[in-house]
Amino acid sequence: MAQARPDRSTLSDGELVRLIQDGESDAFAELVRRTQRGGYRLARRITRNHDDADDVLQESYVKAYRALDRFAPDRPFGPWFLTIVARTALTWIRNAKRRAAEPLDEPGKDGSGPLAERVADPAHDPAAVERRARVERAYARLSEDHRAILALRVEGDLSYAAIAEALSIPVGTVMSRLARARESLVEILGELREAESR
Amino acid sequence: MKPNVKPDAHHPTPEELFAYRDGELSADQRTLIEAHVLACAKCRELINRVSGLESDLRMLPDPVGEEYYERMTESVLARVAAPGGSAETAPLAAERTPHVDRRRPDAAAAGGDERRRLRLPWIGIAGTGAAAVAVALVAVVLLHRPEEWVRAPRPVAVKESGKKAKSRAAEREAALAKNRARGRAQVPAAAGAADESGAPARKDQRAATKEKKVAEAKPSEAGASNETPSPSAQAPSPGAADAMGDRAAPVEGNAKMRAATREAVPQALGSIQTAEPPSSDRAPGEAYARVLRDHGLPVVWDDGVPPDALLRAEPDLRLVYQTHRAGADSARIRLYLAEAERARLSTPADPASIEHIANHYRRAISLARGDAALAAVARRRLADLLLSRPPTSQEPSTP
Repeated sequence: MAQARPDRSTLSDGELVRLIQDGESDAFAELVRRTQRGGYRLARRITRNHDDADDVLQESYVKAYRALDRFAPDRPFGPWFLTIVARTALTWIRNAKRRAAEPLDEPGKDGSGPLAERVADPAHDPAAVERRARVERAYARLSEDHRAILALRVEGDLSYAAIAEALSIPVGTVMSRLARARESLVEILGELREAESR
Repeated sequence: MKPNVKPDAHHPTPEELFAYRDGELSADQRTLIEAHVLACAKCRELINRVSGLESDLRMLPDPVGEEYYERMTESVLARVAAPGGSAETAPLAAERTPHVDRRRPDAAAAGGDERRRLRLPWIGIAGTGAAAVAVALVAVVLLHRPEEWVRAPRPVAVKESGKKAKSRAAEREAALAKNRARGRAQVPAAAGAADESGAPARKDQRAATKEKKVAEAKPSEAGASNETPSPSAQAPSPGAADAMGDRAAPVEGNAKMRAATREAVPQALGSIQTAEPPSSDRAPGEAYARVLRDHGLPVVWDDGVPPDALLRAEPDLRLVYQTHRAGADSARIRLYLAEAERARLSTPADPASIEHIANHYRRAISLARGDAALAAVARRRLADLLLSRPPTSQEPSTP
């Protein structure tokens, strides 16, 4: 249960890392707080279900924590952590732990509505709901590599250099793969739209 | 819609367009692509379309709530504090954080709001203004380096040596033959119906790319044995505007062309100013709002902000940004930082400082995501800054 911790919200990432390296391990809570949303969304985009995303995120934090003693405090923590999340998630979905992707059109196991209905509030703009649901379907049809690189760019907001590091590929390959992924997304979306209009 | 820019030698490649959109080109490359994009509706449309799609992807509401994050934090802390506990030994499933509240309170408000769709800054620019700016920029580029505009140069990162290029061409041919033999294209069958113009060549090319990827060792698998990147490696900066290098000097026109541009562009800028869309009414986040309150600043920088207030607020704004509390106000803060640094510029300003400030504006534009008014202001100020650059020593002085 949540314990009272000193407010470290005004410290920079580097200062927090130094505190942790000096033995104040509870400063890690603030780093977790700053990065958990981005980390979760990235893990969820790649694994495509909550349980895997949760496991990946926790495992990523454990790995990051154990590597912090060698981490240069002047380096931004967020991008480095997201590369850990990305690598962990990619490994996760490629091994036996993989679970089925959350279906777009069926209610979630936890009682939540279908993903397609959660993309926006229907009360506001049904057209936007439909459009976003279609984009999600198109995204789901991308190849694993294309989904991963788009997730890193869109959810992680990572630079090409950081994506290259996360995927262990050259920056030039990031550039071309990202372009192919985006073109594929546009193309698949066109197919979906055409199929729906028939 | 099928993006159809690659076959035309007068258009940049999709790689270049997207790298431009992502702020990943060097200064030289960016200038060339920007000049083209301002003048080319087709390329703008492709960039705008992809930006809209990615904005829709980002709009997926956070499927878990605050309670999940709180529990997850405690769970992580318990795991890292456990003696001998590790990613391998700790039973993850047993510790799984309960899945709680599915919707953020603000998700409903966000849903369906078309204003939050990412729009590129130029979408609100009046045609006349944009055209005039484009003509001026293209003129500078063409006259200064006509040999380079026959085709936009490929970014350094994707350049290949002649030998390597030949090898890749052979590889691509082999992949094409293999793909034809298999009688299948990369995309599902329905793509054929949706794809009328130039489809065969494009599809073959895409199939070849995929085949090539299959032949490659899976890079992420290669790195899979160790998901923790080197903590001491060179820091990748998220959204760093110039990951591919701003090492090249900015393109400098000669004094005569610069003078001509200065005559043409103010009129265009006037049009841009009058075409600025209404400002976003989104309330600022807590941290940013506090700084605004403390220093008496408006939510979005405008020409009426006194330079001394700007300079006093700068450290606080920087702290909010650096401590990751900027959130949706990131673009607004980058605009303020650009203006603060601009207020401190010495005369004559050195090119490195100008480029640094220009990067703040560019980042503000790319972060604006749906705030067309802010993007338009940043774009106007960027154009103004770049036009105010002093001539380089190579340029003859204006008579």
